[in-house]
Amino acid sequence: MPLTQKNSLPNLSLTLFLNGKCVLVDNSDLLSLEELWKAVLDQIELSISKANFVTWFKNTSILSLENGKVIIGVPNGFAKEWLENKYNHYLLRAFHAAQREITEIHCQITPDKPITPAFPRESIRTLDAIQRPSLDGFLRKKLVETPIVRPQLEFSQEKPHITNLNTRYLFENFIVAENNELAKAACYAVSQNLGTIYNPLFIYGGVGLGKTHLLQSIGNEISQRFPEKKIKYITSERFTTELIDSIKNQKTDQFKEYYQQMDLLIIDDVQFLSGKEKTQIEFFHIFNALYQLNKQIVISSDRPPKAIATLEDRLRSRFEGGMIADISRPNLETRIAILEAKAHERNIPIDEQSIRFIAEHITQNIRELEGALNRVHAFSEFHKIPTTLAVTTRVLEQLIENNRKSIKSEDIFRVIIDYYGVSEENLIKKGRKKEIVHSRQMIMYLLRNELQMSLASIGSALGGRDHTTVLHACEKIEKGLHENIRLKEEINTLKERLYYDTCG
Amino acid sequence: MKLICTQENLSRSITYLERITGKQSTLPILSNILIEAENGRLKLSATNLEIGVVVNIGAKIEEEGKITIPAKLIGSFIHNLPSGDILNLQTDQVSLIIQSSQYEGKIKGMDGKDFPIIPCFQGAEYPFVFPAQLFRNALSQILFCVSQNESRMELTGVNVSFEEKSLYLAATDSFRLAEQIFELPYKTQSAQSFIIPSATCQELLRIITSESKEVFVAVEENQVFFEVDGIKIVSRLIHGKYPDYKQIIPTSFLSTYQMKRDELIRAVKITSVLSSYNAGEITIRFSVGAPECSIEAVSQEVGQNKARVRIENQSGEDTEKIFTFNPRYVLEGLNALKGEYVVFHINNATSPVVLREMEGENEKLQYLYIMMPVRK
Repeated sequence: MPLTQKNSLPNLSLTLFLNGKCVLVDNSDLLSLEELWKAVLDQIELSISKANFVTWFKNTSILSLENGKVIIGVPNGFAKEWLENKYNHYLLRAFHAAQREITEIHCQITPDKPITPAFPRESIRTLDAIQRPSLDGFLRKKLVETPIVRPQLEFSQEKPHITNLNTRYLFENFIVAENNELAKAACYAVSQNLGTIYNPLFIYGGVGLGKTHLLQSIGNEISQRFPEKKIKYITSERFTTELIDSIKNQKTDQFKEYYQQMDLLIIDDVQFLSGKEKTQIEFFHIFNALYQLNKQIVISSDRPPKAIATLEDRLRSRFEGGMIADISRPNLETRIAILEAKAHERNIPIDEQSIRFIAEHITQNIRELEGALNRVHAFSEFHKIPTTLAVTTRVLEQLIENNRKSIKSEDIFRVIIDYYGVSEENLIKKGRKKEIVHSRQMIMYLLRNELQMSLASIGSALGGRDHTTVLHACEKIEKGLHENIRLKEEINTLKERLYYDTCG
Repeated sequence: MKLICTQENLSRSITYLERITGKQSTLPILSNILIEAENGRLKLSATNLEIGVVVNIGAKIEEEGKITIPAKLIGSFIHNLPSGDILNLQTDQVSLIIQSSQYEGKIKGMDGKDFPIIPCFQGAEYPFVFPAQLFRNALSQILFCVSQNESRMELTGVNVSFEEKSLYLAATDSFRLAEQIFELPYKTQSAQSFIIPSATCQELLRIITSESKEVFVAVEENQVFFEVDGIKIVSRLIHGKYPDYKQIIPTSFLSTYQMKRDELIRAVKITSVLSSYNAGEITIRFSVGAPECSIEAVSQEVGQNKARVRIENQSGEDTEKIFTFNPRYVLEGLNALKGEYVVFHINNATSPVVLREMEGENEKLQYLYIMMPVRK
């Protein structure tokens, strides 16, 4: 799980300083050659025309500089001749101005850098005429039905493929507890039976509870066991950006084909697709294509598919068609176990009481838990004192204070409106549609329990309702909490959004 | 500068040069031709910074000097002059004055000293000498296979490799491949291979005439130098590793069919009418014991048709085989092949099909065309 850098600042700055020093020593030559060439180019740019400058100095660099003899890397023979014979005096003058006395200038042709296509090659290759012709005119349908046409002549070649996976996330270092055992079991099962058992797999849970860890673990497990499988981990936000780019460059076909050739596609934070209709359509087609070929799809979100507002129904029903597993907030024991594991993993000396203190006070999310641990560790390291309960209390005092930011009734309204996708007007208006009633009751419950507002003022805030209505709502939710785990989770998510401002 | 030369010489040289000028817009001078009179020779050069061409022609030099003139202008002027004319060329500050028997022109140009220097081969002797006619034929038979897709730079050129006394030229766009082998009169000392950009090959095809004897070749520092009939060409090479194409050429075949090339061309042309030419597909069917193969195309929108082509000769396994091809690839391959007969070497519908030409009774092994059936 990623470190919260903010919290480990003292420690970090020290290492940075040390590292920074090392880096400087190691690369000083390289850096100065680059800078020198930049200075020289700046000089030359002033003395020759723009067209000449661009033509002759594009893709040039200093390859070496020794005893007043400089070797300049140029892209082609023309530039070599030109710099050596025509521009040598400009170069000499510019080097002189940059405080480097040069007596000889030589050019060497360096091969042009290979062009990296926006999408890996095979996706482009399949675009050519071997694509089976679409006789009926339903191009899109065809693309989905026969998404992957293999290249015609199969040259063996290494294709670089970017999976976006972080190898730190493994099943082995995921701490299983009752809050996440179903999700972990589902993910593990998927990694053992790719595409055949739970497809798609939908994992949801709050911020910092380990969704990304689980998702990436599947990818890492597969890439270890079957290196030839094509794996892609991508956040839905990045997915959208790529799609927009491909539309801009008129390469949507390549975009689609690129994704349709994956054996395992992992989309993180899918709730951000909400409201982006075009992205949803493209995702839908990619989803279908992969699904039909029994390719595994894994999706994560911060809430169940039902609760993602403005998600197209066809996508929602598909998300719900596979396996849905949730990760809820860890209980105290789990939090302690996580802290102990982290402390052990990173060799942080810390006593049990301190761990218990952190676990008791940081309840909302695991990432923060780790951040708190880092902070305590950094503090004691910096001041060279052992980590005791007193130190921990002192360090975390402020953090815990900050955690409870003050909220107002407007915040609750905003969160509810955003979460349920209802309008404020509907909440206040009379109306007994089921979804409106539920969100209205939720808002009453939150106003009552989080802001301790009086029943009467809650009633008037919601369009002059009677205080008994409010009371009924609060009681109903209260009762539901004991019977319905999903409702509890819903309240938790809402609270989290309220206090941590993580609305998407 | 002051000189006298013939219209034919000047016009011919300009045709070699004007094609490569004017494609790059950053430097205006690149759309010009450099005309130099020095050491008793008239030298004309043009470049787009990827290819450079230098032509030397005979002329009577009265005064040395140089100037650059827009290629289009001087080309249109010189080409239309009556052949056999003797031309007087003279510079006047930044203009070139051309006088013939009946015509006189003054074209504004730019100073010659700003023209890019075209790299020349510095060595004493070119390391390779290719027989010009063989080289030209080989290029013309394979160049159409070069990939147009810039995402795989290494396939956008013709690969040149050597083995013992043989020279291998190959081009592929990863759907089909053409290879031509010819013997060099001597053993090459180096085992290097390089990729020549297709534009350079096009230029070579135009410059090598049917009278040319030898093509001198040298490779140095990512550049390739050619010299044909006193015309020098320099070009960048494509950087990258050419795929090891030899591994995909099948070495054994289940069946072999020999057919008349022109009949086959006609059949493919006719059938492809009813499958849209570019993206459509045609089916070639070899049936058990049948004296002919059938070529079919079916289009739900346009219609369908069927052609039969007699099999002249057959060997190997006699089973029913059905292949689907992109008609363009079949047609281009058949057109590149020479001779009356063509041989199909086939295995199954998912492995490459090899086409070769016949020379008398035997198969000619120098040229090879491979295409993949479309997978259903």
